[in-house]
Amino acid sequence: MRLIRILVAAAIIVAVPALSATAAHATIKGPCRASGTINGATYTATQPSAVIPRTGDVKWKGSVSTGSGKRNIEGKVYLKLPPPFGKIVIGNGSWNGPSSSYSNSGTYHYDLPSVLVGPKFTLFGHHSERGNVVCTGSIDLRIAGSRLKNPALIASIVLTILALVNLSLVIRAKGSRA
Amino acid sequence: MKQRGRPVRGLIGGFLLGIFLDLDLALAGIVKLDSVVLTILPIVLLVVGLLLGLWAPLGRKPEPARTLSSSLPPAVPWPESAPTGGATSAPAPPSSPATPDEPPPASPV
Repeated sequence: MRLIRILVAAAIIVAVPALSATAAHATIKGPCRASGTINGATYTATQPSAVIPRTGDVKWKGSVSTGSGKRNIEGKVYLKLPPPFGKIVIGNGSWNGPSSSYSNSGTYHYDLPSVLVGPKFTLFGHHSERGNVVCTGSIDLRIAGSRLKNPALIASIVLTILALVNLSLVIRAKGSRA
Repeated sequence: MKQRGRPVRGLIGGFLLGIFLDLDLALAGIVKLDSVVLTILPIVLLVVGLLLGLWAPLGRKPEPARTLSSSLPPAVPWPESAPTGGATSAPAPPSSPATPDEPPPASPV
């Protein structure tokens, strides 16, 4: 009984701060601007979070307001996953090499699967000029839709219940019929 | 018979529970996808499952009381002269050989 109390106390001490802690997401730092328009709604880099449709065409724009001439640039737009997983670069959100351009724009079509409805993603981005990171930014994203219609979530809940039943059987001693 | 728990099953079961709870938390949007909770939870539940499997508190039979056996007198070997196998009384002791020449004891009267 004492062991259970210790375990519960340890779980509370670890889980409560970790669950309640929220990363302070600065939206964008540096002399850069970025925005995207999806189905007429414009999302800028100054907002901390956004809910976007699951399918659409995003008209994106990005610019650096300082510097001139040709130089080496590098940049990425990516999702961070928990350790030990790394980063996932989104679509064609990666650039590298010599460039004399200081702004860019385009249209990107995306069609995300329904299993991604519900999770909270934090999208990160950075831009480097001549080997130095000059801009960083992040935005919290969620895909519009009901998370209860997410088949992966339903399957996960069922599997969680089965795992709980399995673990409850583990606490019986071997050879007992109770 | 000594009763044991199921530590390996507890370890695997705890880890699986952690993975599925991770999926629940992430897919329901309760924690962010880059949260460190998703890394900690399976490890914590793995350890909890292992400990619960080792402990296995349910269904254990109470250990027999040892005070009773210690109060008993020490064992004594069965005497050869004791009755065996259905005998109801001890065999008669070997009688001393009677001598017909010996006169009976004199009566006091």
